[in-house]
Amino acid sequence: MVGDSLTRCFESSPPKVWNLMTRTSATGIPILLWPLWFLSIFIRYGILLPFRIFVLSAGVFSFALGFSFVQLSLRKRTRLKVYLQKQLIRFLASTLVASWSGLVHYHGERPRRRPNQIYVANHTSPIDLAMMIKDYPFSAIGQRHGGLAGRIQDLLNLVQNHVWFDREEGHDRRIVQRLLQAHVQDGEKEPVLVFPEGTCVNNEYCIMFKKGSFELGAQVYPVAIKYNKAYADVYWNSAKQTFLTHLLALMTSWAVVCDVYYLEPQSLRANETPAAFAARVKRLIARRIGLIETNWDGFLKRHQLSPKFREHRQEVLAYRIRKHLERVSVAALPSIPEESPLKPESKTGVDGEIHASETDTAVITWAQLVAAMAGNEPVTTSTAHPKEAESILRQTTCDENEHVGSTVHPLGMACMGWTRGSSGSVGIAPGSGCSRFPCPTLVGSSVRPRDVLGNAVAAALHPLDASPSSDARDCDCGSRGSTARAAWPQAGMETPVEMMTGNFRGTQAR
Amino acid sequence: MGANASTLLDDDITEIVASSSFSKEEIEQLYGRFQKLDRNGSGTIDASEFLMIPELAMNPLVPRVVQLFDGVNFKEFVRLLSAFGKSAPRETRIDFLFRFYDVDGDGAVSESDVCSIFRLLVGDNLDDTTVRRIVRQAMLDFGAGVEPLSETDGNESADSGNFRCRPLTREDFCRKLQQVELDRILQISI
Repeated sequence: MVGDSLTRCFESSPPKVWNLMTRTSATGIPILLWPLWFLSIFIRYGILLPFRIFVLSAGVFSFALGFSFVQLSLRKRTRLKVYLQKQLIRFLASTLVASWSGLVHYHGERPRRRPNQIYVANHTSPIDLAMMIKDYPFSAIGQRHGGLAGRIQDLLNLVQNHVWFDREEGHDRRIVQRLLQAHVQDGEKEPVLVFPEGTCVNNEYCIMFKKGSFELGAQVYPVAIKYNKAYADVYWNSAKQTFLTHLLALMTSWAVVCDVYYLEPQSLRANETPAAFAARVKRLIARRIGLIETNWDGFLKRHQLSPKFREHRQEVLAYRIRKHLERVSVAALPSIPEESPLKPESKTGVDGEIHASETDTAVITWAQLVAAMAGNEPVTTSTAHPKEAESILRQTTCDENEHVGSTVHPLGMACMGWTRGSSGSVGIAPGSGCSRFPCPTLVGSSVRPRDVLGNAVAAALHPLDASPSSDARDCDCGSRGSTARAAWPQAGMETPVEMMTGNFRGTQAR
Repeated sequence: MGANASTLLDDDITEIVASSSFSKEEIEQLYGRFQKLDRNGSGTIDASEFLMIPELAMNPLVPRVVQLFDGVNFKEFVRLLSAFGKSAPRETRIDFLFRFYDVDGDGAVSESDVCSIFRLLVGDNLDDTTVRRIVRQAMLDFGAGVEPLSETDGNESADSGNFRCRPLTREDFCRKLQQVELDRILQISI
């Protein structure tokens, strides 16, 4: 409640310290530096902005001139004409980039036209497209915007084969899918560039890649785009800014410094689902430029989570309880507290912990139930040493984490507690409140009954605590997405649960 | 551009700080968060706005959480959250727990209160009898005494016998939660 990992993806995060290069407000700047700050404002608005507007208009004007010349003089669609058009588009993109004093470094093999290929990149702002087209005249696929952004889209479509779809149409995923499929298979058309996140993210995080682009059977060329925050904040927060103000903000910044990495092409592996493939490519991109991976669907930026998630969790809990009850036999539940009802303490040891022997006496306690709900039966310290548990957690591969559902597994949570919370800390199975804390008691031995009510509530309120500490990034570096969000080996989880967790992504949001 | 336009006045802050367990910085942070959660800028956060937090919406207990938090303004928001502050007194934390469980708000946590919380956890996936048995065990574990079922209470089903658990009072909570490290469980870093 005081911070969630989704919202964090969509907040622009200016650098903490003012360094003259950023465009921050006066608050937080020492008075002594104010003259400098005013100077920077003067330079940016008084000198840079007019100059850039001049560059932009000159560029657009010469583009228009050149473009009409090509259109009029070369009637037939010859190779020369196509070539010239492409160069002109690239020129236009360069002009746009120049109007933000854009400095783009391209790394890796430059794109070439091949049949059956698709480029996917992370998305920060529509200007990503200018950055990319400057290097190569990609076709793009995206949502049709209104206003200025829409005009630019229409303009681009005159010359190139872009696929712009309306939001309404976008709801019908199949239509977009068909358009995309047709485009990709056509070797004549320029390679298509997709932003599978489906929305702008602040260039610090990386949200779920939608699987659409990954089930076309085409070779996927990942592209990683990283902006340097020190010079400008490039993230387009469309809830707060229109595209025009966004462009103006960029034009009054110092510069847009950007690295573009073309990564090794990837294709679907045998036995890999498109969703897993999408996640693999996402990981490649996120690792290359140091983004924090999260598994949220961009859809959730504006829409409420489907209640299916919650229902699913209830099912899992009920399933675990039922399984536990089967083991202990239902008769063990107090039908009526005839014996020792007034001395419930007698069931627990002196130190409040259930002794291993007592778990066999067919007396089921609330604590055991909670443990059952959490998916980890109460075990005595001898069987599961914290160290051991940790090593198991480390062994787990991140591949199991492809399904958001697996993060539901409370022991995964316990693990997260260990690694001090990762970016991917999604949620927690209720009832396992204690398991998210790195407490040896929990993983190692049985849960103390007295903790239970408190734990349940703590679990309930876990979202309040959803903010992994701000230093999550630091401690996350080595293990990003692997141990931190690892799923518990599926040992105890029988098919129904697996099935349900496996389905998780499918039921998501749609 | 990018100004942290905060309409929170210094006076307000000092007042809120005094009445909660948060520091000034934490309050400011919370205020930023509050503004973000309050999507329509109405000054209060209502249920649907809370449900936009996906982590929260995923939690089976969310209906109860939302019940407690629905329509809060900033001061109430802070007051409710102050059970989770670093320096919150034990009392506040227990209070919060107790309020959370006291669904019907009658000042005591009865079997039916716990039942409804438990129902949230498992949905409709367990039958009534099982739920009642589990809840009864929970109450007993928690130290609730039993009292004979009076004639007027009507017919309980056979397996609930002739007893029912005495509702837990706030004192019960204090007593039972004595050894629980509430500071560790009920704490959030802002």
